[in-house]
Amino acid sequence: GACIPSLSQQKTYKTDIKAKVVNPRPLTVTRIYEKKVILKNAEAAAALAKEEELSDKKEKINVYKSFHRDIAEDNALKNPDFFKVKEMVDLHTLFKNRVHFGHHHGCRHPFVVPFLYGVRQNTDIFDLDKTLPRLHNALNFIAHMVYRGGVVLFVSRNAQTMPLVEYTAQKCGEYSHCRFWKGGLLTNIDYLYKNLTRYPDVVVFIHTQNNFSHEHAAITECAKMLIPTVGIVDSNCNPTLVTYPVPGNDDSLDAVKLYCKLFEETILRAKEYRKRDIEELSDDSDES
Amino acid sequence: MKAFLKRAKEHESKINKYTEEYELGRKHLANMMGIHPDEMTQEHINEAIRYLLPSGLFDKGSRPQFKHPKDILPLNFDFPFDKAGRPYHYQYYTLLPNYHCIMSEAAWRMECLREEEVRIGSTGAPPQEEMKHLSEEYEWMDLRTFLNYFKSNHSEVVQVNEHNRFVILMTKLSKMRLREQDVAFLKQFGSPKTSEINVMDTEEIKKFYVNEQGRKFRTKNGYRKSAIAQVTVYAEGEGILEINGKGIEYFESQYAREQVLFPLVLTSSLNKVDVHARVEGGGEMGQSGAIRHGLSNALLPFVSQQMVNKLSLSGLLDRDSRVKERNKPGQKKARKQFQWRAR
Repeated sequence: GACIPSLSQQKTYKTDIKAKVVNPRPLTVTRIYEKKVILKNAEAAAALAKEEELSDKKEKINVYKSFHRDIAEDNALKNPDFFKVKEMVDLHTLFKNRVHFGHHHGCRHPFVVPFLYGVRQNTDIFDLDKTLPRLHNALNFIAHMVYRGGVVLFVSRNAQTMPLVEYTAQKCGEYSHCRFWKGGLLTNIDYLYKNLTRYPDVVVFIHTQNNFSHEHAAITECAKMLIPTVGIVDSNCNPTLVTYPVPGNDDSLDAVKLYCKLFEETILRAKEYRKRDIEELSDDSDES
Repeated sequence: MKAFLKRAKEHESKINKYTEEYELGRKHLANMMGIHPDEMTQEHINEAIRYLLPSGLFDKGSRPQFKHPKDILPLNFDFPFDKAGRPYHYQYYTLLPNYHCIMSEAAWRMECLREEEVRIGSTGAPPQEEMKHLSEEYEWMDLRTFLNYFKSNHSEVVQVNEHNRFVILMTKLSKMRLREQDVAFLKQFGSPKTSEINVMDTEEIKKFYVNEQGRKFRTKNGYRKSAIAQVTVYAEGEGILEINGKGIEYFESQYAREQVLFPLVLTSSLNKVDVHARVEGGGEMGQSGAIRHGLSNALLPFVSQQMVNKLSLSGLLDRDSRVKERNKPGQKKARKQFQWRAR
């Protein structure tokens, strides 16, 4: 028995809640001090000055502060549509590629109700006037992250579309994980990988559910590690923990092909812009 | 990532230390052995170590060794990602990138082929490239080679499940109409099945001796129960059969005669081979079984490899180890027990 929604309820789901992020993901990193000694406390600086040899010290460093910036981002932030994302998709292409079809109304998830237009012959229909701006936002976000040299991870657990997704990831020069998700891949990263690995900066879900029609384990892991996610949310999926949910169909081949094509286009375009705009800054900028 | 630099430096210093020790030790060894250090090779060193530090360990890799650190440690400490931290392999975040790369490539090829078939079927147009079915059935990498392939090349630990999936995928792919590039891809992991399984392919089987008169022959002993038979088989013969000076009439029963003739009938060499046998011990059936055993072992060099496989698989070459079971106390015979009584 599914709860039938009243479409008169016009509550908008808040996706743009701004949370204060203070010292996110503090990592213990061993650092070598070669020429310039960068320390916080004055006492420690005095103690080190006596030792002439190099010393390794474990310190809790904020990764964002020591991030090596090789590109000036001010230009990109001036224009709201710097990457011309709105030219890639319009409503007609979405409709043509069957993005508006959802599942049977009995499979409906209550949190997806605000994105639905209605029901037709027992199938939920998405409101494309709501998906389109969200899709634009998601593509824009991905483009900005790739512009700054971010790592994108494609995740999907559908056997039919798995080769397509992996192929697009390879083409873009980004990464994919369409296999069994081992628990703790992101939360317990140091244990599973031999070397210090870099977290993915964006995780793109083309299917938010796994083979057993449960929420994919990567969604909660990304939320815990404060990794922003982009996800295509079908009418039986939970959109709460996805930062950029794109309500749409994820079962028909045409829709998935469209999404893959769009992601590929944005990523390649962003990389082009990055190549064009890159400037190598001097080492003095590391001190901040 | 500055952790890279630290580890790379450590590695370099390690290698330098080990090379110094190696050079020193080499000179000492050369002095001990009385050879000039420039003329000393790795074989000399290995021999010396085996003499000086003998070990009875089974695993040869864990015995004491003296090698240049080049052969033991990798020269360049290669991280799987670059300075910015971006991994090189696009499936690095799955913990087995190379295995999944192969599987996804095979799956992608299947998708492309399916699309081609659909296009050909719907439009009736000819294929863009030449597509053929594989003529033979292919045999894929067995478990051990599979595990070794990933461990040695990419240092990935793969499980049995992964091997099963690999085999299933490859068989699926091989049954479609393939392009040349797909065949080349498949040949990395498999080879066409040979219908012949060479069960026994050693040199001992093909040994034979030559007579004074120039005739090839081979003698072998056959055993059954307590009968011992010495059988000599001469090649290029007429079909002579001799058992203790008599012919096949030595055996009176039909069963015993069939046992003796069966290997010749199987290899279809009744009139092409001479057989001389000497039998002692046992009874009629035991002696006939012993001759059969000896005959089939003596026939092997004069017969094709296919026949050798057949004979070994049929069990004619094995010694029949069945012996009369001993009598046990508290029973009448080996299995027969005394009559059961209620009280």
